[in-house]
Amino acid sequence: MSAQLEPAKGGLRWVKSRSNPGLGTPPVVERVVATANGTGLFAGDLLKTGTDGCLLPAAAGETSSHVMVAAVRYRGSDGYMRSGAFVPASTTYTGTASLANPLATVVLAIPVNNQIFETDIPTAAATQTAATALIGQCVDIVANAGSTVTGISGYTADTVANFQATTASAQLRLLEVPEYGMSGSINDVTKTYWKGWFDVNEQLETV
Amino acid sequence: MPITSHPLFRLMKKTIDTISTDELEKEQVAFGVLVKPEKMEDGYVENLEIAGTTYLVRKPQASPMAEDNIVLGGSVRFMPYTMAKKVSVTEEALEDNKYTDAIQAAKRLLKSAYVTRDADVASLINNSTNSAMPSGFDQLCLANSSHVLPNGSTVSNLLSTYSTPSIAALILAKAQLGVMPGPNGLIQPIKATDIVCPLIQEDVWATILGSEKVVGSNFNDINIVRKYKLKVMPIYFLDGSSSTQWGLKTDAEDGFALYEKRKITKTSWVDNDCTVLHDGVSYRVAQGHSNWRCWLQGNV
Repeated sequence: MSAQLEPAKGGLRWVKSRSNPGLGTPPVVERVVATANGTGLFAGDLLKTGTDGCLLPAAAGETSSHVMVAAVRYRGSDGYMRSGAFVPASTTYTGTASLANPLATVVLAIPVNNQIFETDIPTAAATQTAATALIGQCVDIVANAGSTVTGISGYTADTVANFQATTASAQLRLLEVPEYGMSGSINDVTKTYWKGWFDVNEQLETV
Repeated sequence: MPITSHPLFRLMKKTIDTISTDELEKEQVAFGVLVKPEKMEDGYVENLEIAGTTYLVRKPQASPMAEDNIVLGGSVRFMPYTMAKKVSVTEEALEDNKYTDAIQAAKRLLKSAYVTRDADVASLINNSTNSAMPSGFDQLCLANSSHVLPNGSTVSNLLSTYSTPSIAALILAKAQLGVMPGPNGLIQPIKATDIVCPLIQEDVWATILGSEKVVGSNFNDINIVRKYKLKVMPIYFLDGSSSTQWGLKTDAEDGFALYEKRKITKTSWVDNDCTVLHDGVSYRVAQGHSNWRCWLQGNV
């Protein structure tokens, strides 16, 4: 199989707000992460709000609330506070899970409500027509771990074969197959890691 | 999503000696070479093929002349598309960043615009046999075995035997182009001007075209294709699709088309409410082909 001209990127990438086209800035909020966070949070990860109100990565099939933008601060294993693109796994801090706690892990995140995100689909569609036919259908994410070098999420949509009916319950809904370049050969849906624009179908409304 | 200062954490203090990044020169390979851009004056461009009269008929004395006709063929309409992208950076990130080479959002976007335009032009060849990408007077893909003439007959612009790069392939192609029918169906010879191929074939063609004598014939024969004065036009973006495809760009008029409505234009604006600086770049063009005789597909 020949190469996809548009490279694989990883994670969910904000495209636009559905209700405010043209402003150009997504809604971004600061949220805390639990005092003992097991799994790393990478830029572009789909996040959910736990029963404690803190953010943590959403697994496949889970209702989600935000998309990770960056790590405002976290306490490294050596005790120093850091910023970065991601929160490493097994990050812990003392004190309350609150923005007011200077040691608390805090991330920037985009509430998914009314927002459209781009992500990669890891398997090829048979044809452009077949890819277009997936518009409106739902699909879960695949929660691959992100890169601890770049901090970029490893999340993708699930494979083409796992897209589900428009009435199904799955995390993402394909809204558009974006046209990179004018030709169809840059975002080539017949190659792996083609790009789709999604909204979050199973979501918890938050600020 | 906007670039905040957090992922740029390592750029906040001067500790890095060298930053290695993408090449930001605005090199064009296919754009302007394969296709010469023209300005689009109106909201769209429409080109039409007209077939004229054919051979005369013997007329006996006192008998009337046979009548011929002029036939309108197909037309092709080029509607411009806008291609655009932006990068958003928070003012905090700009304040915290110590390295001027790190962000350069506008410059990077400009480079992306040039690369996109170049890849788009290359896609005319990438999609030459893709029936999902029709264009031209007969609304078929660029390389097709059944291009339709205004009189209804069909002609192929595929090399009669798909070939790997060779002298024989070019001789065959020359002969085929020499008997190519025009819109009225009569032979209107055309010549190849360029060999368009993936980069991986460039040196193969250079060897074929550059030798004075035919390699393998004890140097008795002249290398006839050297006299064709073909230029090799390697296009990087073709390698991703096929390393074996090649074709000949011909001197047929009104072939590849690229109409610019808006040249590559950059803009920037500040969202003061969010303190985010946005850099955007866009261009608006239409592209395709009108006269499919501009191309002879040598292999796929």
